[in-house]
Amino acid sequence: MAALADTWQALLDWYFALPTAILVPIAGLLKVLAVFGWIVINVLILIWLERKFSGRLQSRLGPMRVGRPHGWAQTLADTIKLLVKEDIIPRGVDRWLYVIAPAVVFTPALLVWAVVPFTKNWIVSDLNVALIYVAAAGSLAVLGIFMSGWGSNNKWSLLGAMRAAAQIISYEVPSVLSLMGVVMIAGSLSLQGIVAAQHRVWFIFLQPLGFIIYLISTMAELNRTPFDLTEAESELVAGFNTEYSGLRWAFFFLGEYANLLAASAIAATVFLGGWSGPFLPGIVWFVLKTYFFVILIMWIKWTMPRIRIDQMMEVGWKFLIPAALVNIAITGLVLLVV
Amino acid sequence: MAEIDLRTVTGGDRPELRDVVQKDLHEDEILVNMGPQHPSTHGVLRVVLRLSGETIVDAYPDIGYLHRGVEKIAEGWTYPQFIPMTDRLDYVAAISNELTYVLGVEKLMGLEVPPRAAYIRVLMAELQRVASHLVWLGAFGGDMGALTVFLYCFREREKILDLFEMATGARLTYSYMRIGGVRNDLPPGFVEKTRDFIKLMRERLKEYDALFTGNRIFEARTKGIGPLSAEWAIALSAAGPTLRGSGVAYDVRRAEPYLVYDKLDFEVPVGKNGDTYDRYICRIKEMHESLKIIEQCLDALPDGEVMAKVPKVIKPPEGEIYAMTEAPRGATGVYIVSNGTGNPYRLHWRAPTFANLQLIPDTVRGFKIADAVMIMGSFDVVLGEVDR
Amino acid sequence: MNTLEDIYRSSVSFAKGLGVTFKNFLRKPVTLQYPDERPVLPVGYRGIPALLSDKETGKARCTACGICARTCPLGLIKIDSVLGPDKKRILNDYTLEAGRCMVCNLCVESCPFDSLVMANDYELADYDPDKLYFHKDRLVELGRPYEHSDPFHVDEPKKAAAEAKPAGEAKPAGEAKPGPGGEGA
Ligand code: SF4
Ligand code: SF4
Repeated sequence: MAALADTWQALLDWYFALPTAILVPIAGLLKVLAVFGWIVINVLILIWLERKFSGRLQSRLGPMRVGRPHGWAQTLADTIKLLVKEDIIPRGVDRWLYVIAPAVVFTPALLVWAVVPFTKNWIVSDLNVALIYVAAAGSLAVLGIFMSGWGSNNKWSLLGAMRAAAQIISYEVPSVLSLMGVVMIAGSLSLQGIVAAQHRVWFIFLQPLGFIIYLISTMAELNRTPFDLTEAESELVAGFNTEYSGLRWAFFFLGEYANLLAASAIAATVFLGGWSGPFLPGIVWFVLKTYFFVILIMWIKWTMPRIRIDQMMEVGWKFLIPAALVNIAITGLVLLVV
Repeated sequence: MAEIDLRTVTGGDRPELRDVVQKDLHEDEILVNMGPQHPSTHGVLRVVLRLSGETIVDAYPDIGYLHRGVEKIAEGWTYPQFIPMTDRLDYVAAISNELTYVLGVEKLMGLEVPPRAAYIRVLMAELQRVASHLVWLGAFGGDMGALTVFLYCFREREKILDLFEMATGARLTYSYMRIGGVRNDLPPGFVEKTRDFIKLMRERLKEYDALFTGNRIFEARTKGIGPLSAEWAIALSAAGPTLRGSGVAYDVRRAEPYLVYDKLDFEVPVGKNGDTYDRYICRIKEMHESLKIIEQCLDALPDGEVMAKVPKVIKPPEGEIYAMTEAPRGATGVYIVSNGTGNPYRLHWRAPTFANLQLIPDTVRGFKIADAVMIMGSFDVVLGEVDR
Repeated sequence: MNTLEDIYRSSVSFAKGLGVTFKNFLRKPVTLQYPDERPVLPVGYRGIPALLSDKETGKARCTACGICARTCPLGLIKIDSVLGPDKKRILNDYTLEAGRCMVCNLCVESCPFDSLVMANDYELADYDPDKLYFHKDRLVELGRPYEHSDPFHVDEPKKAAAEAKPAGEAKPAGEAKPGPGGEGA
């Protein structure tokens, strides 16, 4: 035991003795690995949770067999299955686009985590324009989706990709606008700053309209029912990922849930005070609040029917954007008066 | 190139279809096959869509993926032997098919069924109607992305199947009707269980209402979608809720009552605009009416035999007959030509959804893909009876 | 004003929907964990046609008359018999092509000697298609637990009602464990 501690100490000493030019990249790499591990573990839990939760909503049990009790190992088994599946690249696809699209979809979900504060000190980088960065990173995913839809050389995929582009572009606007009210009150774009500004009252109470707009547009960006038009099974077979299978498909899946997690984390940070909370350590509050959003989004997903593409655009442009602007105006007025 | 040929189906499309589909194809338009490998048509129906963006310019249904030659099979089998085969026509509503067929043969032979058998038949047919509409509602919800409703509907349908299993011994292909009555009497406990079910079902229907009828998204997705005028519906001989949704109050149970329907009190719900929403409302209301009919049947169930006296070998006299019933999907008819032997000389099945299927091109034109799925869903097409 | 009303109506309808799913969330799931739990089969469940046997001798009651073979719409029944010394047919083998049987019950109803029954067994799949030809011994084994060709007696409904009474009383016990459609309200 003592020998182990000694080795560890020696390792640390050696590490900190390194020149900064090497130390910083290594530290960065470690942080990336930590975030990646966090995402993968959470996605495994999320998929299991979604299956169980939707099962209970539908009077079923969900997975029960692999890993008792309650099929905890089901996602693991599915992952292994997907990993060992044959990698099929259909004839006639645009090879490059087809191959890298899943990675492009997954990356933005990873990027977002760079600025999310897990606790007071646990944060990869406390960027001062974090909210803008989040919005920018989040909308990158559409590129990947469009690449997959175009590259698949399949009409259904193309239709799905077109829908995705229309959807994410029109919902990015209200989503960012809805956050502006928060920024105005907090006076900061940094997520740590926003958390700090909520030490007395959460922004969900100060910005209820902004919160609802953010929730709706986030669900749209996440392609969750009622906005799951891009892969609307009964209409477009599987939308943009029709031609994908095995590992590549798994990456889409991973990306979807990682995005869900990221969006929930952002929502928890911006509207529910992030890691701050009494008694429990910050990380626990953070996880609890994030999962609250995850469950809320799942619950809505499994209740609502799907909206149609033109109606979706209508809601986005004719309702959400004006409402978000009204929200900003009201916030500004109140700030002026108070 | 030869390699690619191995992977495509050799022969291609029938020339009739190919030529029609590709005629005057504008360069902005694309052709897509919805089905047979598509989650909404799951292997049995193919609709070639001509799309301009997401808007449907035209649609060409292509059927025949489930063809088994049932009508020809009938000619080789004796009259009773064909009963189990009718289960496999509209497999979502097997009892209704059996009923249509045995009524046809009975009419041919001039048989009178005992009153108890008549009531049991009506009871079963109405239970089947509820079960069938539940399947439809679930699938309709699924088409719209509301998968939860699908499972709720199947949960309730399972209860009906339990009842069927109790009475007939099977859950899907019942083989319960016999020429001259029904195979066996209702088992003990059936009546009480059915009453419990009715109570439960009425509650659950309210839940579906809360999930769908008032839901803003649902209304936006169904109101004004796929309108079908009454004239057009009649002209193309649409049937069932599809016809009644357009405002034509035609129900075989009312128009030409068979069995004991003339003694029962029920309403025939009709819609106004003939859109998807009206067809949905019609079916929901029909479920309520069916529950009412079942209750009346349970109250009025007389004692007595369930089988009439029938000869051992069934040989209807020479002649031809057309018998019609109101199956869940509409007026189902059977046309039998007998030459006096034990086998039908010719049998023709009038499938309501075959007629409804041909409404697809006219109703989906100009709507979006998402609407097309819903419109097709609202016709409740069961390919088992379309292809036969 | 219209928009506000619309928003209000939408919100109410969504809340209602969420309420319904939440209510169902609290209900007990209806799933039957199949290989671990099994459905309670009702009296008269149709699994597969089987041969009834004489309770004393244990031999099949079938007299090889061949009516069932002629009744089966698919012609799945083959009867192999020899003419015995007393001019009575003796059953050698009775083959049912179970893989194709649609369990329609017509053969059972047609048997004039009450020697066929619908057995309740349903897990009869096999890897070897040849094993799906059920021969006499297997069919007799399958039919061993049954005494009558039909629990409801198609020909004698009155008698059936009297006979089925005990089964009806046994029902509630069976229902305590819900079947596939079991309900936990
Ligand atoms: S009808 Fe009955 S007695 Fe005759 S061969 Fe068939 S099982 Fe045997
Ligand atoms: S149940 Fe029907 S299909 Fe099966 S052997 Fe008997 S008559 Fe033939």
